[in-house]
Amino acid sequence: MSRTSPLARFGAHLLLAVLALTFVMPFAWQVTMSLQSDRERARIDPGVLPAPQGAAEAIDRVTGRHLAYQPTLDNYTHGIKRVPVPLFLRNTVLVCVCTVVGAVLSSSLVAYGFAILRWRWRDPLFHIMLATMMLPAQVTMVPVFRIWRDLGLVNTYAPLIVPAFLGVPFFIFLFRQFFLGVPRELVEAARMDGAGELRIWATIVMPLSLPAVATVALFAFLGAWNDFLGPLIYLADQDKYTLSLGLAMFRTQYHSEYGQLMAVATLMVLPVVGLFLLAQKTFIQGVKTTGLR
Amino acid sequence: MIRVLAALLCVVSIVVLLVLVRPPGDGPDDGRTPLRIWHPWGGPLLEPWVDAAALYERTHPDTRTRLLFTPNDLANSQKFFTAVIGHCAPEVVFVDGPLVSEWAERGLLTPLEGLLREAGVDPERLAGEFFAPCWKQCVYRGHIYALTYCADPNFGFAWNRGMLRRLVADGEVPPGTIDPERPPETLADLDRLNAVCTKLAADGGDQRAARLGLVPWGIYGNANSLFTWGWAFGGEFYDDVHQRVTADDPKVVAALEWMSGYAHTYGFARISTVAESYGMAEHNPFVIGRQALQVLHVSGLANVQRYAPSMDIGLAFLPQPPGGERHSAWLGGWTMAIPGGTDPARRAAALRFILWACASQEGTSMAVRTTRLFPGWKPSAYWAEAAKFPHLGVYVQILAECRHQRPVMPVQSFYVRELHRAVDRVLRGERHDDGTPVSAAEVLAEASARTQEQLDHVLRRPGAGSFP
Amino acid sequence: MKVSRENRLGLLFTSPFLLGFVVFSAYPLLASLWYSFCAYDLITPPVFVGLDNYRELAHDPHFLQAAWNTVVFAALVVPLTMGLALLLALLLHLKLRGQALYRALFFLPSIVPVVASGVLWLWLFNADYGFINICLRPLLSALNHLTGAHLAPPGWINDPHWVLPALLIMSAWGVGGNVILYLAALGDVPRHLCEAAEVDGAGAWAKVRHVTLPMISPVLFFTLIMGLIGAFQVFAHPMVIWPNGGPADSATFFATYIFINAFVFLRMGYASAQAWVLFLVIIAATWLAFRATRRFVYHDGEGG
Repeated sequence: MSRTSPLARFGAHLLLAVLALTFVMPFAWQVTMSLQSDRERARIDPGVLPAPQGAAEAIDRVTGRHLAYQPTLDNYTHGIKRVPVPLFLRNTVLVCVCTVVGAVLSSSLVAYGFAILRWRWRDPLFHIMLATMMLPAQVTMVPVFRIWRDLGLVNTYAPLIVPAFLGVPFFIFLFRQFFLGVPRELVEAARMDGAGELRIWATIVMPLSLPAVATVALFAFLGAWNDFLGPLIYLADQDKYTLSLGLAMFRTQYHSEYGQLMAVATLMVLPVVGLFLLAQKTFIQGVKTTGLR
Repeated sequence: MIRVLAALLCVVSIVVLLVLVRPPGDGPDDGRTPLRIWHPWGGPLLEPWVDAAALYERTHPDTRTRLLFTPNDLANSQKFFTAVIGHCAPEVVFVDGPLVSEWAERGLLTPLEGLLREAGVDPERLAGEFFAPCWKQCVYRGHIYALTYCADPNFGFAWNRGMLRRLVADGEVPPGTIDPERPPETLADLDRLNAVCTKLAADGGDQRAARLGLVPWGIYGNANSLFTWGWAFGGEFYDDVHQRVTADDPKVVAALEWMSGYAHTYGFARISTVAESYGMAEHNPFVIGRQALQVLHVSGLANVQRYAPSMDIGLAFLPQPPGGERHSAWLGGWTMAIPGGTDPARRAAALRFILWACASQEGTSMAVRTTRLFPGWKPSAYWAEAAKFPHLGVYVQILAECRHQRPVMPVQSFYVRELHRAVDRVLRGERHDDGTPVSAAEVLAEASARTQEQLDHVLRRPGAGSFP
Repeated sequence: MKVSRENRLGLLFTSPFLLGFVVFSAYPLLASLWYSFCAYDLITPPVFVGLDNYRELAHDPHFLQAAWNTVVFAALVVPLTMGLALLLALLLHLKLRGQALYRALFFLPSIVPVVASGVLWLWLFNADYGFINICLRPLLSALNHLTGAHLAPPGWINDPHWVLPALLIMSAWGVGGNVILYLAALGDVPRHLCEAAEVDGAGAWAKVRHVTLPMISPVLFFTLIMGLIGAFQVFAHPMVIWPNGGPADSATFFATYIFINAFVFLRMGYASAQAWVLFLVIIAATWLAFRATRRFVYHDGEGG
């Protein structure tokens, strides 16, 4: 794409901007709700433009409609006080970090077995692995809970973390698809040089699949960060709760705090965006053909 | 190399387990009985609950309360069921009133009468201290499974007095047709008032209603709306003596026909579009001033005062349908119970806490006052106090006259979903293959039959009634 | 029995999965199969009833409706999300200023926690003041003016005909994950192949068709299979927005109906029977997908 004309570039920008605007809409409303006072949210026509008081009034006067509102940080300050955000954040980060490490390590090793090695039961086992994803979790949940109970690990983080160390089928499959693209000659050459399989995994296959590693790490992090049902079912001490359960604490039967819910949800989104910006760099430069050699 | 790999995996897993596994104990052993309490109170009700538990600890130094928030949604029943199955349920749990019988049938709850007697409380006397529906919803197959913690008098009839006054003042309604100061006494009054309040948008195909009166199905879902109007029409939903499902009661049918009359007169899509936003208090069309009339929950009052403090509203009993009940109301709200399979050594402490929260002066005033919800316990000193809050007195009267609670049966959830569907089909104007619309009578008969089948199935299954 | 070195290595590398399978998957899988032949309310011990559950679901109108809804949804959502994600990934792969920001924006809807996003969807799709209809209203109004038609913005939540489109739009908003996967794959497409194609005078479409798509086909295949599995198990959106199954049962799907039966009606046996039907349906769909795409999936390293 080295010789793109300025017109084509402008067109691409325009298209991307329009699409991005659509995609950003739900989040924009989330932020808006988090910045609005009770009264503003309860209007027939809540404002959409944050503006300082004087400016907000001026905008409304000029346009003849209620467009601007005066933002407030009350939802943030109260929301953080109502739910012990720092404690829940610590718990969540602990679970997330362990999950990411476990998922990347174990899934890539298993995928190596399914993609690079040739052996007898490889394909049947791979198909069994795919099948484990096909039975809906709703009917396996109770027996799985029983197993954790029998292991004495209910109300610990183990049920949330240990499965990540045992190879997550989704990530195994993903790694396998990337590993299949690793040039066969490289692997064979390394074997000729006497490298063990673990060394080939560590020095050839993984470095050549950095985009996949980054993707799996990001997905694993996001999955653990937003997981609701797992922590809900397995944790029975409030000091062990995670942020996504904390979010639920703003809702209750009779009176919910949607402004505060949106405020804390916004705070929860920001770190993931940060991680994404870090991870996405690895997607751009391919490594398979340019790196290494 | 392989050995390194295997060793690596082992080390990692052991480290993870060592770091993370803490015995799921009860915290420090300080001689006090630990009491795990799972409660659904979040948002602004969170702090009052934490305060209540702290107060209990001060007045009961032998007990340590450990509160756990569990969300009020369907996912939460998964948590509760797995905990009971896994023998790690808490000592005290909150149960939505209509679910008590359903869960008791499966042994998910512990019967309380023996514990009550051990604690020196006569169950008969206690029964007399609760409002009748509050007590009835907790008794199943002759056992007491829960005590009512909060009693919701469903519902008050609210009207936006300020809006009606403006309509009169602006000449939008002919003088003398409505009286903004008085609620409709009969259903015919309501229909007339509603016709005046509803103003449909003029612009052609658009499905908007500029201003609405009442949406008869638009509060707490189709099934609860049918309960509201079905009882108001004088109908009954369940015959617990003969264990017959009676949604096809002609008076319930009449209620559904009246509800669907609104759908057909004003356009189902047009008015249910507005009713969609009932989920969030701050978008409730009554609160934001688009709807003049609403069947209002007692917590709705607090929401009006919070989000629309300047709104001038009136509150009264529901209007009376022809031949129906005067001052009809039914009970909603939460109960407290001891899950099945809890440690017998802690049951006495658990019961003491439940009695404190549901049936003591300190508990009912502390735990309930700050939340502005009602206890189900008649001797509470709270009643005199509640009557002083604006409009809350009306709800106190509604609770005092409340006669119904949702069916005490083991397939309550199934029934509710069937009712939801029946109402949906009629309001939407579903048609038979030959083009004739389905009737309220036939969908309710169908809902009854399907529920009856499930009920018979559960009651006749092997081992039925083996609990407690 | 002698196990060869290759097989030993294979077993060793896949051992984490095998261990997890034996400890945490095998028993629940078999247990649910057993429950599907039982009357089982989760708490009291299951009682064997033979094929009763399967017989019942053949006559359960709600189950049949759920099955039909799910199949239609899966047939539409998989191509929709794959196509949209591919288009976005190709755009985001262009060398333009600010791409990092664009990429983040497209990923945003996938990050929002479900407790919050349920509220957001209800707002977006509210027929009355929802954002989508606020945008549609002036457009339709102008159109009505021009053509004399009487088009109204749809009742996304309340109109059974618009529930499926609403769900598809929600899914489209969530393609961020697929976009990332495609971007990761696009990064690996060798530049020299593109350049060679350009030298041959290939246009942009021809380059995509003959170079890019084959090179990322393993990842396309992955998203196809996972998309199918996910679509057949669609749960969160319908459950959060239509907990009662939606107008005229239009938002009742396999997984939501299974959940309702298992944890609301306390009929785990019946739910397990449904789950096993779903399991077989997914296996059939996946097998078809494997068969249909065998020719198109290209592997640099190994032929299969």
